Amino acid sequence: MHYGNLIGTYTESIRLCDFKANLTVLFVAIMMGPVVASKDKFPNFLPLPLALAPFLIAFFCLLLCVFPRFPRRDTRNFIVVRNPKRSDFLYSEDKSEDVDQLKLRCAILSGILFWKTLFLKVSLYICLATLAFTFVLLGFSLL
Amino acid sequence: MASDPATYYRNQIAAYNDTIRISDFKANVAIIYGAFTMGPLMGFANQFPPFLPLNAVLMAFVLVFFCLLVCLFPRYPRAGRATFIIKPNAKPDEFIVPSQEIVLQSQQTLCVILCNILYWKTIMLRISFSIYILGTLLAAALLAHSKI
Repeated sequence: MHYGNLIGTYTESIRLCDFKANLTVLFVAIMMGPVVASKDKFPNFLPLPLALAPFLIAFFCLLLCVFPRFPRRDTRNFIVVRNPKRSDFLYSEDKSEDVDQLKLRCAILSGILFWKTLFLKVSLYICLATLAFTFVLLGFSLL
Repeated sequence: MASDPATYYRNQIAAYNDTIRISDFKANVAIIYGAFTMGPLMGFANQFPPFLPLNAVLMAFVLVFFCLLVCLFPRYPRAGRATFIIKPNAKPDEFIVPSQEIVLQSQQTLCVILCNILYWKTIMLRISFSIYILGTLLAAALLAHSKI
């Protein structure tokens, strides 16, 4: 029961992370257009490649975040192979083995959530820093 | 009324989770909405009134995007990580079944964490929606004025 709930929480957090990453990719892609379109208005110290660098880093992190991963550690419980056989899916009546598998799945999901959160945080930090920088530049241009 | 404390806290946590998820969804939709509306606005930049430069309009958008991204920022405070481990190389043995007392304590802690997360999400969402609403009203007023 405890491990079932924990796995449910991990799965939900991972799904939320994926959803946020997908939408952030969309947001960054949409924002890239107006930024490239207004390249003539950029200050002298900011060439276009430099302005596009944060976008590319954010894209890289977000794509790593949504990259599908099925670690080898969980191959016994959740098989992802090209030619699965019926004998690959065997029911075990051993309760202790079942608990061990649930613990293993918790550990795997914890690792996946860690990397997803890390990449999402990095890309969101980049977006936030870029927005703050843009706000300052726009503010200066109004003075 | 819940029959026992664990059920009570579980219901509270579910209610917080649900509200946080709805907040996240709203922020996601708002961020895409803002990104889509920015393009057409930039296209009409030469028709803006003299007192409203394009950069001032863009500053409002940037502020909204900042608030919405802060709203969407994933947070797992350390206080809640005793039972919800987030590590790159967690071992299966680290996941142990806690006692009933620890479960109740961690449920209470989770309520506190979720309450705080929801508070900040709501603040950020309110700021950005207020700016959107004011911007929409301003745009409507300007459009009406240009017709007269």
